[in-house]
Amino acid sequence: MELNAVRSRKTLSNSSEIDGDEFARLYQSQLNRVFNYVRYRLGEADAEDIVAEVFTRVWSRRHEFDARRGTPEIWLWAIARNAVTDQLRKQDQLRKKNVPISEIDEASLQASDPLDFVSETEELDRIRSAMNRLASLDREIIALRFGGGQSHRAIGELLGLQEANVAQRLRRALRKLRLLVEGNAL
Amino acid sequence: MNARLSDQEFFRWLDELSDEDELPVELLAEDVADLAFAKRLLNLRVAPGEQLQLTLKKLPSMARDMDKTSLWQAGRIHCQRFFTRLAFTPRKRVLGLVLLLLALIIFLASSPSARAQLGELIDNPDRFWVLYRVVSLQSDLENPRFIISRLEPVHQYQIMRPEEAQATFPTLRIPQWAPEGLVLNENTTVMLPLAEDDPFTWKIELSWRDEANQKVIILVVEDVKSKTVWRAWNAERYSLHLYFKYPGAKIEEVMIGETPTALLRMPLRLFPIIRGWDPGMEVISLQWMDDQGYVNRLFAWADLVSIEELVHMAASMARDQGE
Repeated sequence: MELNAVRSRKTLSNSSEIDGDEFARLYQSQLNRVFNYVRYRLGEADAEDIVAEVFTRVWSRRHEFDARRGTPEIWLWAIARNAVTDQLRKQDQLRKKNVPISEIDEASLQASDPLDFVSETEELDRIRSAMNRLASLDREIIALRFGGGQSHRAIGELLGLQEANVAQRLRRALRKLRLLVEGNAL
Repeated sequence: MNARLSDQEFFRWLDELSDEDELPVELLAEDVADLAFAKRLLNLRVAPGEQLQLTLKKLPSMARDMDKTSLWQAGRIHCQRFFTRLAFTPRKRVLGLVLLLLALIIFLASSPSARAQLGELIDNPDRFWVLYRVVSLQSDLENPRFIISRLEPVHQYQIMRPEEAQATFPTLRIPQWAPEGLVLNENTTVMLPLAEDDPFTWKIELSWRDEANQKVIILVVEDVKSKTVWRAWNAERYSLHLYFKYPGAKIEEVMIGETPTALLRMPLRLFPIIRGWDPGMEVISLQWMDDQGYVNRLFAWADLVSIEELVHMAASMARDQGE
């Protein structure tokens, strides 16, 4: 379900609080999307913890939701993006202290034989390593589109970009990422 | 010669291509490679783990039950009492408190790790409180660090009346005596395994409180027979186990009937799951493994309930009951 396509009862009514039913609906429609977006941004190891944190924040802050400012989906995604940003900041701080974050390293980027079998997780790790060489905004767009399954319009809404601009950046970033993963980066 | 796809055309191709479709040969090789790569990215998506799904699904119903839980209520009451006392405290004491706060600020300024923890708390205030509340719902004092660092509750929860709990678990022994003015709370938390292969069997939390909800005694009874690690611990060794579980607690052994029982006195700060309350407040606890293989843990605030009362209460869990 696209963010901008959702104009739920909550948006139309004056009532802003997210109740149990609304939460269940959000959970049903967004859990997989948020989970995969987080996987694309942070990797497998942190994904479940962060997703748990995101949905718990949504529930614990449900009184703060303001329907005049957007749909519950947009609100949830803003929370998800904030949680990811916080976690990235923490990872960055740890990295500065030379604490290993995970097993992901440059070696995984320099893929061995492309015919070698790699699991989905390994492949995602390799792609994430390559993503680190992209601009931060491009990483976010790729994760929202391919992990979070968001439309270009929804991504634009979240990032404050025009829909056409999103498509253009995404296309360019996608090619660059492919070349990086294939080891042909310039 | 084939033209490069426009952005719009490219993403239309991507949306319309199914996994079974052959990649279009009429397109430029670069565009085909991009499409194949984009498809790969989409196919790397997976579903989250079942336990996470289950946990999040239950979040609203868990939250509804939270306020009923005794530890949460007890914490809230003690916070209220702290601020009430502060409002009537003479100026010198307030000055002392201000100095203490200054000392805390200096400590934070000089300790990077304390600063980091505080920073995390400021960055994620809701995380702190939500975890705090989830934990207090569980009243799970066994794996506090695990629960603090992860949101997944390890059990499923049911709120029952004590009679229902007794009927469901006929071997459950409930104290027949409680200090004067304390009444058994009608909300009993029953924790059951989330999955069939979960080695956890059941755990029950009962609480006694007075009208003002100030005196609170909590009894946690857990069936530990199925826990492999527990097979190594018999009743005599139970106290020893507690030295590891609550390092820093004053532990002595008392006999209740014929059962060796550990008497613990410890500041609240030894319970990492209950941080946020007055950390110096002392908790007394009696813990023992009974002849049925259940671990019983009685907890009370040391300033509100005496050790004698707690011992008397434990002794009233007669052997002929629940068999």
